[in-house]
Amino acid sequence: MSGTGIPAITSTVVIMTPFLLAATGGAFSAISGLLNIALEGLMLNAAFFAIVFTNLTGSLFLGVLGAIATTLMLTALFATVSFKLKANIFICGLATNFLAIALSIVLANAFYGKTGSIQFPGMPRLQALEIPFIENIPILGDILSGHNAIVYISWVLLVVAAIVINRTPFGMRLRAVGVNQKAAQGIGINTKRVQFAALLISGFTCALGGAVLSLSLSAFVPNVTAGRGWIALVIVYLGRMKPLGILIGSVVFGFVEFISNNLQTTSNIPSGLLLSLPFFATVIALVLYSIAEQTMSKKGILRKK
Amino acid sequence: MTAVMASLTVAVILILILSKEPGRSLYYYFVGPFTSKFIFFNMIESCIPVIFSGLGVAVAFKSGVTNLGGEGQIFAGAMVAVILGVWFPELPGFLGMVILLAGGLTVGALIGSVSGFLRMKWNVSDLLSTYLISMGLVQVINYLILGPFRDASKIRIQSLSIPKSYMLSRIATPSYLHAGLFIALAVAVLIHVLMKHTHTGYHLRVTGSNRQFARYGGINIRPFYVLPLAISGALIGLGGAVQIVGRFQSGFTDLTAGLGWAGIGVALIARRNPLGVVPAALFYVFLQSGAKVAMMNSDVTYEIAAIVTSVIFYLITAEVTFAFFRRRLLK
Repeated sequence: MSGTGIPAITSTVVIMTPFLLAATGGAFSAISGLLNIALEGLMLNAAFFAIVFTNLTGSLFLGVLGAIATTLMLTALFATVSFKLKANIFICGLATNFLAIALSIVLANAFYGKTGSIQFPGMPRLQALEIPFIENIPILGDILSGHNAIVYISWVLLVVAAIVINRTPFGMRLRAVGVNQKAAQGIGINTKRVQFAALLISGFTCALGGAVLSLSLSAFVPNVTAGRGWIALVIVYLGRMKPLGILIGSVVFGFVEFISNNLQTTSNIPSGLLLSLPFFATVIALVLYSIAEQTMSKKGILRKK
Repeated sequence: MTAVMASLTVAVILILILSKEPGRSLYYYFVGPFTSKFIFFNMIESCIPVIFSGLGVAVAFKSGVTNLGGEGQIFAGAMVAVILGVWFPELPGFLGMVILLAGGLTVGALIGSVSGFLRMKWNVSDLLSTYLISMGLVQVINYLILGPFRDASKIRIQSLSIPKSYMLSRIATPSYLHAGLFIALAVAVLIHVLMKHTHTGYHLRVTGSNRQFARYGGINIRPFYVLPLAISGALIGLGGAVQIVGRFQSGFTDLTAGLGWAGIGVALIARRNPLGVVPAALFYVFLQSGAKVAMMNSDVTYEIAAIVTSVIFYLITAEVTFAFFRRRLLK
């Protein structure tokens, strides 16, 4: 293993966490047959409120909790408007993304009298946690140990998601609704309630994903999510809505972002151009996947109503 | 209409909550844009790019495809206009202007076609590809403005400028309102005619409302992924070029400022009807201008408009909004 190999892996593990979290929750809404394009806005909302509540309470735990609570509220608003008022879920998703941006700016101005980056000196930082025994194993220890708590939580959540989707009655209903909503209704499943729950789950994981973004910077920066929610959405589909696929997708896109970050310091390629790399890489991945998929299935990623 | 009324109500409520001098803020928000010719004509000016992006999105939606790439397409159209103007500064004024506009239109069409082609050939989601390509392009164009095309002689970060002779004339000085308004209105009529009264428009609408039906009806549906996205991108790219030759003369990094997204809201308010895009765009920019005037004259932030806008997005497609509110009122 070369000298740069280990840092590359550890950085990728950290960078991929927001992708992994958003995609894990995104899988639930995708399996239930919803295109949740609000992942981006939900993460941004959480990134903002994580800083607000951490500053308010002085506790990272309460900060994350506040981020989760507010993001669930935003998700509930999003879900209520699209189900109760029968509005187009895709347009509501866009609305949620806009609302998250607008709220962060208006509230920052109302709370702190300023817009732009928000940070507070002396705010608690996310601590790296070492896992006993594993930290001493070469290579594996570097990959698995020494991350902050949310990184570990993201792994646990992925496993939980796999179990819930494949091994529980709720997971079964979720899949049934996604495959055929009418049929699911026919056997007595309350499809709207299942989809509502799926959206709330994606709100929950996006909240953690957003919180880890801002808390690891100890600051809220406008547009801190920078398209990660959208890339996570692509990961969900590239990973065929399966936990293992999502893990692989998150590793790949985490690595792309790592390369993009790394080249900014080590190469002569202008950093502005490198910022476009994750987006174009995502398009290429999407195309390659679609070519592979085309022969296998005609089922479109965009389910039009 | 309900969504429009609801969004105005939300604007009032937000101002009542957030402002320490709500009377003053409300006055400037709703009446402010009409208090001076300067502000009023500037409001009309700001509706020009929104008309273009609204038309672009309306054509896409009506044809059953999705274009979320407005931001990148406007930016690319504007940047190509700048590049052409910088490379060919010696042309006769009118010809130069036409070439710049054609450049913006062409690059927009090309960007749209890429997504259309990917959809046609490999069934790649146009929703995702338009957005992702657009976001990538925004970064590339930011780089062009900050790097190779930067005008180092200016304090403000901006690109090199196009020759003054290429600029559209101002039609209501001292405001920024320019002749691009007539281009926008003409294009709106043109798109209306195209969609309503031509063979191609008929095919676009039929494939848009039901692709299977169109196929059984004997329409070769495959090109109807590429064509609507090409038209959509062309309109939006043209809008970007108009921003340069009409208003800014040079590019800068925040040029699009949500204009691409505005197009989606406007297209929906207009119920995807090209002629309806014009009044919808006016309403949309009224919300923004009101917020701007209120920000200058009282204590509310401009982003109030963004919250109001998101309320429109939430409610604009709601089928039962009106029934819902009526039910609530009766309770």
